[in-house]
Amino acid sequence: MTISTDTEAELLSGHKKHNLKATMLSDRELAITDLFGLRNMGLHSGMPGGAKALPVPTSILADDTGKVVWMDQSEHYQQRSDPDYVKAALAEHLDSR
Amino acid sequence: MDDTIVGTTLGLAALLVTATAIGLWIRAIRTVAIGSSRVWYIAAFVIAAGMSVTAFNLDTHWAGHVAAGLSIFVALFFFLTAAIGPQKVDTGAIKVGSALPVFSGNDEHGKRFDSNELAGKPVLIKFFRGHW
Repeated sequence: MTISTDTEAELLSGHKKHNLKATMLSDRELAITDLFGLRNMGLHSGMPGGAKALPVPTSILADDTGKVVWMDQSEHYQQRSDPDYVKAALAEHLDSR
Repeated sequence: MDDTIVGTTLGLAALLVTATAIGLWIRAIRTVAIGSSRVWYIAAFVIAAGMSVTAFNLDTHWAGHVAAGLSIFVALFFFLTAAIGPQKVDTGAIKVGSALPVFSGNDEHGKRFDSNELAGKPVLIKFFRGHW
């Protein structure tokens, strides 16, 4: 699943455009982001006409008990977790059990 | 060769180098494929800046000056966005070993989602900047 500050309409548009299957949550006020402590406290936060602040791009893998078993965090807002890196983490933490 | 021709050519070439680098950068952003290394982008901008400065010092046609100026402006903008990009989270941020907090929110169809629905299932959660 994904969590971002996009509105529901923006999420639906991205969901269709990229044919995504994930549940995408709208977190305009960063309520969920703050529960995870992932609000960006650096300079580049917020967008004109958009959300007041942004989350730090982060991938979190939790097991079936809800415990975080793997995380990857971007140090720069223009970067994301490499898809192959995420797939390797999924294979390591889920398939091995 | 005539200084005017050399200077103008350098100015226009500098703009071409910068525009190509920016074009590749935007393409990488659109496909969410920006690599961790920016060495080639920086090299392109430094080379373009060198060409622009040389063009300024020659008897360049005004079009060459404009192109050289634009090239430097675009390169500075790139460095500015890179400089203000680093991210920082609070010390209380979630870590490996932590339990997921209980959360809820509206999904892309406006339907309420509660994290209790994840019980007994592994999940990959991606926080991202938005704007696909």
